[in-house]
Amino acid sequence: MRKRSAWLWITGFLGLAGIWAALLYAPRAQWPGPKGTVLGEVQRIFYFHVPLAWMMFFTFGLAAWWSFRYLATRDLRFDLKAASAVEVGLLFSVLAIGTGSLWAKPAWGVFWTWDPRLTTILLLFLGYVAYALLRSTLEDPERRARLSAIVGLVVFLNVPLTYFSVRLWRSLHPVVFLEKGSTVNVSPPMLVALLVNLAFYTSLGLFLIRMRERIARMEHALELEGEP
Amino acid sequence: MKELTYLFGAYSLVWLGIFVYLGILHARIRELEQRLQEDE
Repeated sequence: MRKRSAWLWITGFLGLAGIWAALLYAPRAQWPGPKGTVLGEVQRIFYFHVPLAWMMFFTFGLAAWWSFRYLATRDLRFDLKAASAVEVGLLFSVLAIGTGSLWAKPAWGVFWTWDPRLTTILLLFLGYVAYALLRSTLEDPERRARLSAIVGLVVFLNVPLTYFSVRLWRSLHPVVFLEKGSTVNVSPPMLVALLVNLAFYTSLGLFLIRMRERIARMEHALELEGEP
Repeated sequence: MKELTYLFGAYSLVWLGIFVYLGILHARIRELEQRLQEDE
């Protein structure tokens, strides 16, 4: 209990530091808008849109790892962990897509376009929605765990495709980190603001997975007792 | 001004999403804890 509350305090502190870094510390950057306009403040969405997208990939990666561990060990705890990670990943997907749309409108002039990155991310999201729906239709815990693990691994194949889509095809979506030797194309204050927010959303995501996992364990205990 | 609307709209969406989800998880934990206690 004490450990969880310390974790919550650290996450809360990182959250406040993240807001400060994104809105006040990071410099006002110039960002190209439609028809030759230059945008400034709206670019700050970058400091939480990128961490949200990172957490989406990370939680789906964790889900794939735990799905693999389940198939290797047949230990139901890994299935519960994978399902928890997928649910939290779905939350981060919705938030990443939503914040992306709110940035796209002033930057591109539209909320949504069938760009390779946007299309692959939507397919990824729908794949994990299918995973969640599949789980809800299966009653036998062993069968549910086995099929979910297989689907979890198959759907995860879309993660690298989504990540590299901006490099593989012509895309409106910017490439955040252009590797030039060891440097990246964001200035040091921007990088600090981004890293603080990455730390916050990572800590929050792991906290949410732990909370969801606790629920999954209790539901499983009730399921074993024969309650709905 | 319009840019700030999009920025704060996006921020509001994120925090609303996080707090609603936290609320749902918290309520579900309390409900399940109660049911498990009743079973004992």
